[in-house]
Amino acid sequence: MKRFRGCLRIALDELRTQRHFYLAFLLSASVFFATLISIMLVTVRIPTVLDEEFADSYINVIEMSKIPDGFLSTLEEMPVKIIDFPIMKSDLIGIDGSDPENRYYTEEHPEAESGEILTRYYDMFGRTGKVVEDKPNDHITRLNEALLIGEPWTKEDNTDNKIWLCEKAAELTGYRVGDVMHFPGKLNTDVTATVAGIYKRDDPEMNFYYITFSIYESVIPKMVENNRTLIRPDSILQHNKVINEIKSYYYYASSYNKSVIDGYMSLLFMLYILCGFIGLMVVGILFATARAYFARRTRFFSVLKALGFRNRGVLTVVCLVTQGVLTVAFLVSQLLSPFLLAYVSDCLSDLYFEMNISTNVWNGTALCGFIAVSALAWIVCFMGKRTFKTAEITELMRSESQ
Amino acid sequence: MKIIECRDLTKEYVSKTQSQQALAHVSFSVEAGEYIAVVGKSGSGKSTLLNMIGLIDVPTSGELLIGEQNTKDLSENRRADLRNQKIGYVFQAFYLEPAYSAYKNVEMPLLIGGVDKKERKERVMKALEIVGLAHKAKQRADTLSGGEKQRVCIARALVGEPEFILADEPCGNLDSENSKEIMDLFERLNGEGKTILLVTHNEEDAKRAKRRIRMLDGGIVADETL
Ligand SMILES: Nc1ncnc2c1ncn2[C@@H]1O[C@H](COP(=O)(O)OP(=O)(O)OP(=O)(O)O)[C@@H](O)[C@H]1O
Ligand SMILES: [Mg+2]
Repeated sequence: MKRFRGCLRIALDELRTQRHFYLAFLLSASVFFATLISIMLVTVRIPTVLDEEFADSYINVIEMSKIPDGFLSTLEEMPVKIIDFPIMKSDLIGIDGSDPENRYYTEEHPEAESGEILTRYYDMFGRTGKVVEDKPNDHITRLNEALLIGEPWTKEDNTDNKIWLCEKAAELTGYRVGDVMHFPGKLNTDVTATVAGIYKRDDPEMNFYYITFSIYESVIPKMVENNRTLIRPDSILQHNKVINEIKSYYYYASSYNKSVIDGYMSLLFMLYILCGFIGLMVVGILFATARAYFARRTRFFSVLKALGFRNRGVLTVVCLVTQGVLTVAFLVSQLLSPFLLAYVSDCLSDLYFEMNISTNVWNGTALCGFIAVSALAWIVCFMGKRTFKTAEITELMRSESQ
Repeated sequence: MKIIECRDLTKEYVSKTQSQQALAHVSFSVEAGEYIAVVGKSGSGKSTLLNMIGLIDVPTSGELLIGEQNTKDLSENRRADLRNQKIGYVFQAFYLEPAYSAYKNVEMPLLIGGVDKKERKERVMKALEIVGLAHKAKQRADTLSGGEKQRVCIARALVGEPEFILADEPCGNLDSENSKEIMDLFERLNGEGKTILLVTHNEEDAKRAKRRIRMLDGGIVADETL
């Protein structure tokens, strides 16, 4: 311990007296640290961003419980029936006359007029909808759209609690037409709903279940943004499996999501590779620095050894000096990296969505980077152990007497 | 009390083309308090002998005892510790660290030995006082004159309170005036009980020692007490 304190003092004096030698290395190390920290912060942020962005695909889990088997006796025989989406019960689509923009159909029918035939959303059911002016929406509507637009339902609509499941959800949960589901409603009420139908789900953009407004009202508390909901069976064991299956199903069934996620995944992969390369660079730089420092100071170490310094001491001083430079470089980089990070996250935000990376770089990730690089520095110095033993005063004397 | 004993020390330098015996079967011993001058012409093996005794080089064969300790099979670390604690080495070329102050240069052996800060300070200042440079403690080593540098080097050799001091041509790089000062200093140190082993070319200087060892071709040809 006392010896180590001696080494520490020597290393500090070395840092002070040899600072000109380190200046170039210090600057490049700072820049490289800033880069590393920025990249690491972006890298760790990506999975979180993906989670946040796609959270609505699965976070809002509604509990459902299956009715006892006995109740199913009459229904048991029923095959899983693929039914039409009940929106098509009526060919008539109500347009809220008070909505000047007719926002339902803005893309294809900027101004849907009475009597017009609408195809959007109905194609998959082989139907079309006809616009009827001033008629309220008296049908089940797409929750998706509903939430984008506002409140399409009126309270009188669909007082029955009914739910339509997509084929996949039905398959995973085992529900069949006629089953009664239980939802925990607002204020811990128990909400029941009858499975009214099962539909094919070809469009990945589509919801995997549809509910009547009455369920919506009684189950979903102040939920405005999360427009998708998972169904899960009562069995806990099955629960995770189903969640995962549905997750992957919905992630990858969705071509849009898939391309976005793939994009980010390859970005992530690239960043990992980049971190790896920077790591290799660091090893190189550190090794070169430690060697250069030692070569520059061989004379000094030779004399120290003649005065009784051990080889281990030389190694310790080289390590400590390298560590010292790294520490200063890290502190300098803390001033640089917010700018770099702001720039990087600005570039990335054009990609798909905001990364929202905080430019506060005083955090665990940066510290982890610093610790990792420091550990690398020590390992590299230990790798050069043999070299650092070569300082010999006899060599020095001989070379100087010539 | 014997503090150094050489038994049949031999050093051979072997290279691909030739082998050279720099030290051939040297045996002698040094008592505490002695002041020995090693003389001989160039290439006779004086430095080689001093380096063996100073544990900065390893003999090819033979034994070297420092105090009671046989150094033959000592580990590199133990040899380093012995250098630090028992041996003070004064170099012809000083080997001071130019960017460090005189104080820091003298402090080195104590830092290496892990001596406490307070004690370090006392001992460094005491050593600098002995060589008469206490007032230049803060001055950078590269701004000192040659004579002062050598005195700092001697202070550095003294600071660890070694059992003996080795000096390889300490005046080799100095003019006659500075040389005289250094030789006076050695004489004074010996008067205070320090054991000194000094290599020199200068017969005048050698005469000031109490014992003179003359070397030729790696062997001792004369060992006379003056
Ligand atoms: N590393 C070495 N490799 C080969 N030969 C060496 C080496 N060191 C010393 N020698 C040889 O050993 C012999 C003794 O050298 P040494 O340095 O001890 O002489 P010296 O008496 O100190 O001479 P000088 O008075 O010139 O300093 C010389 O012939 C020298 O060439
Ligand atoms: Mg010599």
